[in-house]
Amino acid sequence: MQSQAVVRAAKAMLEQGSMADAWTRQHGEVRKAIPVEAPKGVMQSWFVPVLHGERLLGFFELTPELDVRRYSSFQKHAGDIEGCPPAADWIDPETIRRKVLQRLKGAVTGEPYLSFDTYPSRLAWAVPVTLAGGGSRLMFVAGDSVFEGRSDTGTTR
Amino acid sequence: MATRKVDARRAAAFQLNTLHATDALPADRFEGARLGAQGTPIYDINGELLFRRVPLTKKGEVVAFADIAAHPALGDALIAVSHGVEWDERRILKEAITAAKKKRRALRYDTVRFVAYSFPKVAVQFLSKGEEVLMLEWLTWAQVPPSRYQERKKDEPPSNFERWSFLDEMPAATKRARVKRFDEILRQWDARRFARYRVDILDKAKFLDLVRFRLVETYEMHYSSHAGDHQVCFELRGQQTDVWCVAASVQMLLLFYRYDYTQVRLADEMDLGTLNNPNGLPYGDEQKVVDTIEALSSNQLDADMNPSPTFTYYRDELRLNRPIISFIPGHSRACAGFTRNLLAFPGFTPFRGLLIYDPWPPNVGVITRWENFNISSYRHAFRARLQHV
Repeated sequence: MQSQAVVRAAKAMLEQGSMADAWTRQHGEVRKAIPVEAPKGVMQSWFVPVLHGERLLGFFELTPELDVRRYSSFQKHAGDIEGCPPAADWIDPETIRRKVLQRLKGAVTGEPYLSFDTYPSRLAWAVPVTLAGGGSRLMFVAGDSVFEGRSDTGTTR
Repeated sequence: MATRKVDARRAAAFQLNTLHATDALPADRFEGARLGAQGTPIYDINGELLFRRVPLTKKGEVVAFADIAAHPALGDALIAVSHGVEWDERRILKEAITAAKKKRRALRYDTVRFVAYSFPKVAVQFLSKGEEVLMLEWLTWAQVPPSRYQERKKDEPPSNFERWSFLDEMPAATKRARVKRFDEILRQWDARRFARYRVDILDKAKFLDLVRFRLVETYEMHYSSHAGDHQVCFELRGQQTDVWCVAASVQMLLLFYRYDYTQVRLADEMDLGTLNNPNGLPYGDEQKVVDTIEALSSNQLDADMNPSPTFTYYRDELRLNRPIISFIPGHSRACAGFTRNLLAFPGFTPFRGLLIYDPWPPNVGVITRWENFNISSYRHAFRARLQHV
């Protein structure tokens, strides 16, 4: 139920017009909110995608109390969708799982969940992985970028 | 000292429109009223021109008059606006001359002028060869007695019916402050953005459309500080590895100043490794950002860092059309604009947002409009000031 309230809040902000441009207001479609969890099961914020067709134009990020944290756009200019990633890269767990498996052949993946790499601003999908040769690790997927989580907290990256 | 010539009519007309638009003046009398081009000059006792009394007319009929500064020491353009008392310069002079002849049949004079004998009270002064021969108060036509200035004790105010010089009795520091304020007011209202607006007619709808009460202040980075004649000018660069946000942020800032460096080169300067073996910038190494900006601009950019930037810091720098590199815990971005609500309700913090060019996610990046400053944590901020000759 809360995810519906999140979507309503995001739609209201989109229509209100101070966050996204006029083109996005006209052509953007607010989709289902996805919780951002870190670690798994602990909600940190809501990710609300705004799509145009199969492209992800941008997203709202709201706090659990529904305060807006930001609206971030992949569009470099109004109406530009060339630089916008396929929406599946950011909202479809199966697509994300496949990206990890392409990197780590023979690995077994757990359930992907939207999270961040150490810091909330480094939004990425987290995918628990059991390696073919044994051992486990947490992989992150941010668009086309697939990388292993780092534990260091003393760097700006 | 010679009096500086000032023309405050346009600024006063804006102020009159403001009063009218906010219903501070009776609408039925002032809507459509036209401010006259000429007015009656009113002098100080010391002989300097002080202000002009300018009629406001509607269909040829005088409906009010405005006192408009002619001396900067008045400190504002519009001194007063009055209605209900008729001001007809010719008729007043005729009445004054009649009253003067009644008092002195043999009165000889070559000049008659209006003076603010006890500001803002007005009298008619008769002069012969530059010397006063009689002064009569407007309307009562009582003779204004000679100055008591020499007899008055220090700090003793003038009495009710006494002439005194508004300009000469003003403390020097007060005069300086008023002149400064006056110049600022004229500068604001004479600004180019209002140049095309005709202000001599009071028109509420047009005026509100012109000056719309500003509830939000927003600024985005432009090619130069003359923001009105070109598009927003800042470009996003995604970080090329999952740990090169600092290289990407420095790249965006340098690119704004047309220094086009690759992230590989910038990473080399800041010891961030290579594309195949990259690393982030360790906490404590922030000075490398400053050093890199200066070195790679051949010191044409003077960079520094602020370890605890406030919103005011961001706002002031951005207003000067200078982008900022913004560190938050674990991440770095470029900041190229701000917005803030100017209307604050009790108990609520007005929204304050930053326009963030975020190099994350890798190779793509996002433009965040707006990042809520009130609920975000900020670390260091870096600015670069272009050195001029």
